[in-house]
Amino acid sequence: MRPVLPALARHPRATRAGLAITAIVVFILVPQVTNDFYLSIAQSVVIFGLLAMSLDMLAGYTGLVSLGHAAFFGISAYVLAYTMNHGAGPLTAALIGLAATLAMAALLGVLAIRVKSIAFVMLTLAIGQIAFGLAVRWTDVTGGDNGLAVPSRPSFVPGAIDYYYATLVVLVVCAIVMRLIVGSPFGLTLRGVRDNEERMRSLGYTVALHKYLAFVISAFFAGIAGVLFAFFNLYMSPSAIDFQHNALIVLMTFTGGLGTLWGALVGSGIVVFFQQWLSIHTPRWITFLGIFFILTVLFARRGVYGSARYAIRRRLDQLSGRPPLDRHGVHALPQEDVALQEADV
Amino acid sequence: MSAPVLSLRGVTRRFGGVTAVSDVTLDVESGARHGIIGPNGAGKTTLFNLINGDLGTSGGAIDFLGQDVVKLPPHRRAALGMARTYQIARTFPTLTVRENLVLGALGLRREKYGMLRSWRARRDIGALVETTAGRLGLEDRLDVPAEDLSHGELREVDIALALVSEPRMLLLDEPAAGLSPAERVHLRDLLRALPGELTVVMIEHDMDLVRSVVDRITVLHFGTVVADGETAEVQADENVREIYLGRSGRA
Repeated sequence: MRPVLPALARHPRATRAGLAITAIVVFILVPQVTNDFYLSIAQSVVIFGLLAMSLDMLAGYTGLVSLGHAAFFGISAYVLAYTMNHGAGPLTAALIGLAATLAMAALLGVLAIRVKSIAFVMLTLAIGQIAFGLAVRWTDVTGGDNGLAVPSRPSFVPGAIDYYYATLVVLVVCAIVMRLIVGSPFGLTLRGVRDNEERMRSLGYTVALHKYLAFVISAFFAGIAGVLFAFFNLYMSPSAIDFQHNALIVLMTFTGGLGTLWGALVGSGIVVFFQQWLSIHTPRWITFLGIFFILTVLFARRGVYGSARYAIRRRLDQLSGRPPLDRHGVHALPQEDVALQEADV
Repeated sequence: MSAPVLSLRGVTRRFGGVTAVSDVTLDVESGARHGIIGPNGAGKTTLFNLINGDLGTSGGAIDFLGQDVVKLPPHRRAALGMARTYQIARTFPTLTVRENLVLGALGLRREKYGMLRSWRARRDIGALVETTAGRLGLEDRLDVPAEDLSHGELREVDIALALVSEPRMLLLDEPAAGLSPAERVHLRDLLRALPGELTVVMIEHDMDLVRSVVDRITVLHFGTVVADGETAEVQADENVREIYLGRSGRA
């Protein structure tokens, strides 16, 4: 390890590119070296990874944790299924589904950005439950508990493996776009909003607009994940947007590491593993997922990916001779001064 | 004489039955170094909150650069060139000092909505941020998260956030509070070196700093203006001495 780490430290860009390429290669190899079961797991990781990443833009970067994110995933999937059942082609239906998601996000965003922190969680929970309620009750459109069948995939990706590769391409493209957004000036403003809304206002930012754009963009990518899911599952039912599902998406972003984007992908891998692999061996998989989550919160506060990245960065800092960060800077005040100021406040 | 940069007319703010700021009338000339002093609870910070819009007024008029701003939200007043710092530094704790300052620099630029290019690609903003950090002695801390900074450094970041937006008027709320003697000297030099056309209004308890920076003082007491004038004449004022020291007989 010793000679490897400093070399990695000297080339952070190459290291990141190497990791990304490795991950992509692993995903490409899955259908070649494993069976249908693992293909279906990898397929779920791709789709829910995209969904969890879209939530991370809102929850991790902007500080707005949504418990109703699956609603936007559901809107595009349901609209796609409905329009296909009424004669639209797969691609037209996908576009209409995305447009519907965008329109609903644009509408609901106006409400959602009026509140923050726990009130936002509760409001999005309500939105998610209303969407679920509509899916169950509005039987003429949604088919109720029976759900809606999706007649076919786009003709150029008929088989499961072809389709898997297509979704992988969509994931990579979306991930690149999301990465560009979070690294852009706008992405920085979202982190500013998360850290201190009031300060952003006095610096000249229209905070509500930044939150609104984050909400709509995040919902749009959730809508893309919904399209991918509809064509994968070829069936859409209320259980895909119920409360448990909403909670699982939040769990993916948290266990992976909030505000890291790639962590959401790792978190989706972990949750899907518990949900699809462990559930074969034990009906108590959700208990084990709960225990895993508690351990993550206790011992890897920044999430699995976030904590690993943090530990490696610190180690690299040490190796490259940079002093590790102390919690309090170099000219910290003597204790009595600190006590005085606090009394003054 | 040129029109004042900031003009308050009968500005009042009530919290329930308490009148925190009462009928304050005040003009700040362009390029002035204006001090606001007064005992704790005199309404100084509330007055700042009213000026920059963090709080709404209960009555009165506020004009900034000849424009009525009393109804404008804080971000619109910032867009007109008003920047402020806070008594307890308000920064972005999980962001590095560099990211903090880039946010300060972007606030009034259209590029804040840019989504597809890295903010690091903006060399002009990067240079502005580094220059500003240098003025505050933060050049070695640029890549440190704000939450890892000392108290004094956080105050410097707060001031840098205001300066990097290149404002027309700077409102400083007790910039020296909690600074070490060495940091105070540095702060004084920084304030003296600010460009002459920048208007500065400063709340401060440290009278040494006030004397060496400010040329005009307004004294607030229980929310009202009790004295307003040149630094020396206000310091000689009997009323002011009473407020600070108690009645001369008892002092």
